[in-house]
Amino acid sequence: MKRFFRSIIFFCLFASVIYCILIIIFGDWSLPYKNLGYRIGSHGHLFSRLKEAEKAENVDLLIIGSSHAYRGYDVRLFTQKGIKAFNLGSSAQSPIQTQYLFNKYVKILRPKLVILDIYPKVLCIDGVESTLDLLSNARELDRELIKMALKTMDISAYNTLIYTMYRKYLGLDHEFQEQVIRRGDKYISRGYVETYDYSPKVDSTTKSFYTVLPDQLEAFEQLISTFKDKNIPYILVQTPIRETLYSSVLNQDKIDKLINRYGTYLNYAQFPIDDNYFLDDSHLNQKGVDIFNDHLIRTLKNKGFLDGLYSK
Amino acid sequence: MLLLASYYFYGCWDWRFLFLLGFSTLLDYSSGIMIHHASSRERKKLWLILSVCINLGFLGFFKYYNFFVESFAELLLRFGFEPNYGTLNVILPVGISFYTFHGLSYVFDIYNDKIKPTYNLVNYTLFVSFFPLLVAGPIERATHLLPQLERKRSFNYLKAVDGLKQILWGFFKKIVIADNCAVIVNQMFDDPTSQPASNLLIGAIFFAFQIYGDFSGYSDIALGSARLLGIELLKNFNFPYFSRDIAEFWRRWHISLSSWFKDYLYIPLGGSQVGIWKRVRNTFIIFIVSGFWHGANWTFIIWGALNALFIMPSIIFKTNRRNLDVVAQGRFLPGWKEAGQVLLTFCLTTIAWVFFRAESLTHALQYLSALINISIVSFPTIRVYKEAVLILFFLIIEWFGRENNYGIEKILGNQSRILRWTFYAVIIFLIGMFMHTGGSEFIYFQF
Repeated sequence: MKRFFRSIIFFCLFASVIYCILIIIFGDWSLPYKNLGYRIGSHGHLFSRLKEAEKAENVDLLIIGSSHAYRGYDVRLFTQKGIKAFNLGSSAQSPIQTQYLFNKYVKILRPKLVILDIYPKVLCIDGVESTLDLLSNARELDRELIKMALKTMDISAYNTLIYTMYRKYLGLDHEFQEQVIRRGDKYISRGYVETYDYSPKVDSTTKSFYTVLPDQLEAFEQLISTFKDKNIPYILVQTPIRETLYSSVLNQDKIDKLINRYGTYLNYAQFPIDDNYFLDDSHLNQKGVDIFNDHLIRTLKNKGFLDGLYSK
Repeated sequence: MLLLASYYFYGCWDWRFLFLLGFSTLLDYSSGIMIHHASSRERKKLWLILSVCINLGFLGFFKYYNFFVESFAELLLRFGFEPNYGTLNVILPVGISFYTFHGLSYVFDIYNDKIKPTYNLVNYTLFVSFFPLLVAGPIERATHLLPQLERKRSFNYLKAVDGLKQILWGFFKKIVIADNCAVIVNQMFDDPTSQPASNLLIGAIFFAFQIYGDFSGYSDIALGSARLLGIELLKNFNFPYFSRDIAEFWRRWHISLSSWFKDYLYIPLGGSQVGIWKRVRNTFIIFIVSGFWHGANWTFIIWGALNALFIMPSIIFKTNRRNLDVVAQGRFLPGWKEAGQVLLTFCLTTIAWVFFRAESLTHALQYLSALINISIVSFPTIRVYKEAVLILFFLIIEWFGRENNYGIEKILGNQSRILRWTFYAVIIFLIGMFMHTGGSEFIYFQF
């Protein structure tokens, strides 16, 4: 029995080394493999955003959330109104990642107001995609990020974590420069991504239900508590989406009621906006953002959220 | 300890069905004693019939009640009646088909004086509920498993290591091969009419690998876990896709079920020691019953009947025991004839699997008719390179391991430890890198 357990321990150590070596080989070898998602400079310009966030001190407004955040709130339009905004959105960002990003950057950004973009679907996803995005594009691999990756209980996150460790600790991404323009997307300083693309409406959207995951709801509640503890005013906002998508979700009302419980919720899901102003079913393009942001800023002003916020 | 673990394992799924499992166990345990002590052959028979009826009654209620009601109502409708019927929302207890058959084999063997009943209730209960085989087999025999449970077991290093190796290979089959194939298969079977025939062909072939990887993977995990604990379970698979005819395939696929039906149904019906027409009848009976055992759906019955049809030439011409050895035994590659036979057998089983996988007969026929189309020679529009490479790797390992108990049993067996360990580490890596992360149940849990 003793011999058996000794062999098991030695084998586990040996297999771990082989496993890591193979991850590095496969990671460097560009194959359409499955459970390794290291994509530096990928969709959403997170690398550039995080690089800028380290230097962007004392902002008036922090916008945070999924792709709806970095595609839906144009920091330039806020600047025009005298509000210094920073957009910390990232692809498929769920409350678990929002919590990580907020806690990491709040000390640098010191926002006076937070817009937490809340596309209900982010409460229903496991957050693995966003974790992979963060692992690939984070400037450094800190303890919280490692903890978050380990908590996903997902092999892709573990494999990507191993590969990220190899790249970050050896400084292999030091010289990386992200393209400003990629496939119709243009990165705008302070986190926004501009696009003029448009895709036509798809009518046959299948019906679905939102099923909120307990972990995500818990992270969302903790995030709200953090805002309150730090005495930072916050607003929950949902950006406009196409009517076909909105009506395809059969328990939309229930979700709206749930979100409403956690603070001021500005739900623009059914905001009347021309179909040409959408990038796809759930994201606006620049034309749509211009209209939506103008309306949002006026609403925030009317509701007094912007009082005493102006930098100039 | 093992008994508590087994009951806890089963209770994790639904604790309420522990009572059913307990009742079934007590029934067969006491039936065994009553049959053994019965004063006459008639009384023995009476106890046997009672035990069989109650066992099959439970199985029939939980598994087949709705099927019979619906089929009967459909029949009445065809004759112009308008039946007013209701079905029940019955939850199928996981593994009921397996543990019912464990118990039945025990009472049959006592009735046939093959074994004496055990008076140790704990050992008997463990025989029925031993956790590796409880939910999806192999279907054990009391003659094989009970003596092992009654004996004192001691730890054996080599057996434990062998068990771990088999578990590792089982995991590879299930979560790499079966689960990845399942994604493509589901896509193809969801809407076969919208797919070109070449895609459907890939879907059908992948299902053959899915069902094999899923079920034999489970069996490997079960056998390996039991071996780790010092218990040998019956071998359930023996590289069935390297069979040269359907008869050989059925000696290599789900062996514990095939041999169960052979011993307790085919042979009592006269087996092959009867005239040609009875042989044909007996073959159809066991294949149809075997199909029906899998599930309450006409698709399983047709799947069984189709296999009976495929095996029929060898039954009629008495060539069913022609291929008793391993294909290309002692050779690196098979001859052209053998390769052709293996391929033809694989094609026949793949056609039959379409019925096994389909939701209904209409669905199966829709799939097959969409498959017989000129677009079968077109280039498939789905990208399955990764899955194809994994299946190829899997087949190569299985081919080289075909003379052993499981694929990797003796691969690099006489090489240095570092080489062997590297090989196992590479398999762990392949699992980690290519496993399907969506999570899916074992197909045979539903039976």
